[in-house]
Amino acid sequence: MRKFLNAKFIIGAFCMTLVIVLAVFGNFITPYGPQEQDLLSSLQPPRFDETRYYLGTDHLGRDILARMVSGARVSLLIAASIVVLSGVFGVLFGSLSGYWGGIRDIVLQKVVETFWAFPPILLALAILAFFGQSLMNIIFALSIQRWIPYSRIARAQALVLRNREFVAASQVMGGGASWIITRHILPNLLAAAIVIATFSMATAILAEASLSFLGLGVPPEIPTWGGMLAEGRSYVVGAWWIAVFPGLGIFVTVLGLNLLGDWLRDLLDPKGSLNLR
Amino acid sequence: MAHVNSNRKLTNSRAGLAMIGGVALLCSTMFASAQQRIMTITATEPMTTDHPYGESSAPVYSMWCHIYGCLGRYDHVANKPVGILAEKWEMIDPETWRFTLRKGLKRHDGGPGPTSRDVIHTLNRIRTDKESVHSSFVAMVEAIVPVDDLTFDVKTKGPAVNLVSALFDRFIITSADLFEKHGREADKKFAVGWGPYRLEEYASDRRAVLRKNPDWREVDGFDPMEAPDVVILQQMREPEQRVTALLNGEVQVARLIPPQLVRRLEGRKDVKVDKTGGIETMFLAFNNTMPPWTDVRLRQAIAHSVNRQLIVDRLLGGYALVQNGMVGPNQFCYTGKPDRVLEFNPAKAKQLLAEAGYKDGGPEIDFYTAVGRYVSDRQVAEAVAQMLRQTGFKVRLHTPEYANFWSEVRRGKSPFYYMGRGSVFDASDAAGQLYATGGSPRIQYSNPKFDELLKRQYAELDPQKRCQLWRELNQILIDDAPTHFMWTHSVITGLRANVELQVERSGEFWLPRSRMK
Amino acid sequence: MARAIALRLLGVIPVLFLVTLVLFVLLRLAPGDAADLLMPDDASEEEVSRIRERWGLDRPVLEQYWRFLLASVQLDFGRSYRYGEDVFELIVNRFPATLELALIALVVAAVIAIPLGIVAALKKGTALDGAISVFAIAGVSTPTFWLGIILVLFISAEMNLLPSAGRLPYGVALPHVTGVHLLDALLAWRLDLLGLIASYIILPAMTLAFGMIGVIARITRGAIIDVAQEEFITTAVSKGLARGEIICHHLMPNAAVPIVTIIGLELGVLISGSIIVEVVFSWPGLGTLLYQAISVRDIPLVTGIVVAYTSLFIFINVAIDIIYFMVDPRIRASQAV
Repeated sequence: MRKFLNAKFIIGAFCMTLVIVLAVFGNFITPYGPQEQDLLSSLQPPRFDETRYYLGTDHLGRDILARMVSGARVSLLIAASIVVLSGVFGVLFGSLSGYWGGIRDIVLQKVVETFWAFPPILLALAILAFFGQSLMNIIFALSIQRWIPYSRIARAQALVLRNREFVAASQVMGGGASWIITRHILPNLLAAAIVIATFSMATAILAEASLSFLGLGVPPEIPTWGGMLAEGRSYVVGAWWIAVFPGLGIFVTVLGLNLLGDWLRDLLDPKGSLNLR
Repeated sequence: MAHVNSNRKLTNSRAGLAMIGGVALLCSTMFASAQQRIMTITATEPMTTDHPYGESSAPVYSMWCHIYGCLGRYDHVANKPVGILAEKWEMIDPETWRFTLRKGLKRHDGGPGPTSRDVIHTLNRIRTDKESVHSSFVAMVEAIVPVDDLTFDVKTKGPAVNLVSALFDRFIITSADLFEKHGREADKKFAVGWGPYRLEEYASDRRAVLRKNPDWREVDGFDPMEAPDVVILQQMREPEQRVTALLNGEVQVARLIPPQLVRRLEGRKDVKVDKTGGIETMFLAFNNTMPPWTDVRLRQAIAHSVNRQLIVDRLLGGYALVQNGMVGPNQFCYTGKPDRVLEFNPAKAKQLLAEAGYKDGGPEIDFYTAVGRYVSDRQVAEAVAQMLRQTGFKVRLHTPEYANFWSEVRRGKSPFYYMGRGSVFDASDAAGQLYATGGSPRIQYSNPKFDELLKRQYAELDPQKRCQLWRELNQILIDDAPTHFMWTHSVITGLRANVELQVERSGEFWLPRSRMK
Repeated sequence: MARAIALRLLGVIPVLFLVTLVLFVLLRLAPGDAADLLMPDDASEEEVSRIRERWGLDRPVLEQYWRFLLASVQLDFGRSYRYGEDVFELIVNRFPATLELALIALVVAAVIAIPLGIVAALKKGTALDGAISVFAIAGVSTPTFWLGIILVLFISAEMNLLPSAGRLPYGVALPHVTGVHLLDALLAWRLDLLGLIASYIILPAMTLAFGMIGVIARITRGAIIDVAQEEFITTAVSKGLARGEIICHHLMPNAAVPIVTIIGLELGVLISGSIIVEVVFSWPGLGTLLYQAISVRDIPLVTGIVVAYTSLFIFINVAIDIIYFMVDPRIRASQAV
């Protein structure tokens, strides 16, 4: 029980609960839809009266709260998809590389190094420029470098296992790569992978916001916090609420994820022996 | 004064020299700063190269016009072209213009004044230099023929009453001698011309420093005594930063203030806001050969769906002027409100949709917009998309990166988009490119009557008759709606209280006529 | 040892090859090219295609790539379409600004983070330790551009304390030796300029540093805790040495290696991560150059900058490996590559 009585866990869990509650139940608080424009009531400050603009409206007269709610969903969805996609791919790539060894391992490791060495924003930028800015492409562009840490730990684990007797034995008995990976590599990786996933979810949300800042975010039909923030920054002096709330949303979510990640790391890996960077 | 260039490698010995030079420079600036007036102006377009023909944007043209000198400029207050290096120009036949250069000008390094040879060299360099991107506005020029040292004829490929407006403000004259002697190095080490300011420093992506040419007199003999001694064009891309820098006094002139930031500048004693009606026309463009835009009723339905005034008032802070057709009140040949306009009328839009066969909701359409290129472009497009949905169109809004957006538009692959056209003062060139049959793949509009009238106005020497032709052309563009015109943005410039500056409709200004206390 | 290093460095070549190939293909597949983007609105299609031909953009991708490879072997990365300058020279000219920003950011981050990490380690498990880690994590959780804009608004606009953009004002003559302004000012013994230079650099550096504080603080804390468990510390404590002396003479020297390593790694991250900060603060470094280059599809320049970033990144990694290798014999045994 004591491990939950930790500042990181308490604050982190609180942040995440807040965000998840907003994403799930937000629609019951506001009567507006996230895309409902009303130019005649643009830039209304937050207020509690019959207009029910609790967090104010933006330059197009859209309700900020409604957009925060759907922004929370989209941001979490994007981040979760990235984590799943990169996690699965990374583990598979790393395990196979380590399991095969030899020349195939060397070639695959060169591929890893190539992706690793790219300046991150550039690769995402190039991909979005070429494939266009859809939700899928954002997820793809942000996953393309995030699988590397998983592949590193998976490969290390596979390298260790390769030389063990039971693996050799199972190979003799016809156990293939998939057996080794699911039975021996995955369970050993879980702790480290969860820690990586938590952090990478946090960085994914930040990265999405940065792409929006550079004009390469998701299409305007889909409200995201990053997009709202990027749009709201030029109104920040006259209408602080447009940019402050999504900024807060990002901050709280990322903070929550980072705190939980840190707490998990302390818990699962107190000596720092896993290569988590 | 040392010409410092960030793009130049300094060898050790040169570094040593530069150090001594640097100390001297500092001393001179320290002593001189008491009297010299420095005006810092924010530059928003990229300043990337010291090649005078290497970047094509109005602010860059303007900068080089101040340094090297142009034939002339358009004074939007006096509403007439004014000479800079040229003092006289006249059309001697529909395909020939004769220009006379000013006498008695001296090059910044003491060399001779501009001659016909320099003008011809300029045309050649614009056309053949590997890094030149200015060749488009001289496309109508067949040849330049010298008459004498100071007089030359510009032969055009067809009748061209608009030649002066095409060349002025953009055709930057550089020295033939210096280029023959030094080649590309001339732009770096001998960036000397005849204009009212000399180039003192050019650091790409940072700033250009211009120092007043003490010998300069305007073509009417005006002595720019009160103009700033040093002008710094300081690169600042973020609008928030420009406003902040102006309020702090880091800069004296902050350009292109977006509407939502104007209120930060208002009600203050130390700054003032200049709002000039602009000539950048914004429009919704259709590719007229792509279904469903082949149907004029649908194009008109779009026009009737959009409440332009509401967007201007609520989203653009009132800093734009709704425009009907290509020629608005700020432009050349405006002859009053057109006879018929496509007003906001959702009922009419729905009726047109029904007539075109869309009784229960309009067609599915893809709508593209530039992002971060024009004032509030993405926001405008979102508002427009919403208005279109309200009359029944099923709109998918796309916001591609500008590079992709623009190349699709240029190649005619974009079906329906929001964008603008800067510096449309004399509309004939833009009209020829956008609406004449075969002008470009962008809009693919074709109307023989329009083509015929457009051709006639190129040769029409009587200004009144020419403007009457334009009234007809404009009406065709409204009725047929190959594009739907939205508005022209105001040019909003923030100035420190001690600066007096006439901002032209193009957003540029002529520094010798500015004053700084 | 030398052989291992040589092998590592040779291994860089295929990576660079792949990086440039990926980049070329991506940039070429994207719609739009430099000719489209650098020619003005009113240019006719013929004008644009003439430029395209002049720049060789009409050739097949692989042919362009092949030409690039042939030239780049001789360190010739071509000329930028937009800047009209030699790419290599452009990069060399812009790099010091980015390096200076990254270094100062690193110093700022280290100065804040290392003491925090030490305190957290010494007070391990207390509320103070918790508060420090929450603070550090808050730094990592703030979007950079957002922080930058807030800093400009409050420190530049509201309080008018520091300039909002740029690197040096007009009229300051600073000899160009290294391009790193602070260093140049020191070399020329112009101490009066240091404050001025710092006033321009502090906001962007703080913005950039904010995200680093968390990482460095955590590593410091971990390293100190590790060292504290070693025998010689226990001995020192049992000998009754003063607390400050133990920290300064025993803990820190031994914890320094992992800390320095992480800082080194972070330098690479900072240099490539500075693009957004540079854009926000109009800082004339590699980041702005890259941003400009991408936005007009200036292939030679984009490729050149990416090669520069990549080489630097790999170089830092190799250097750190070597340091590790020399410092810690245990790694020598465990590193099987």
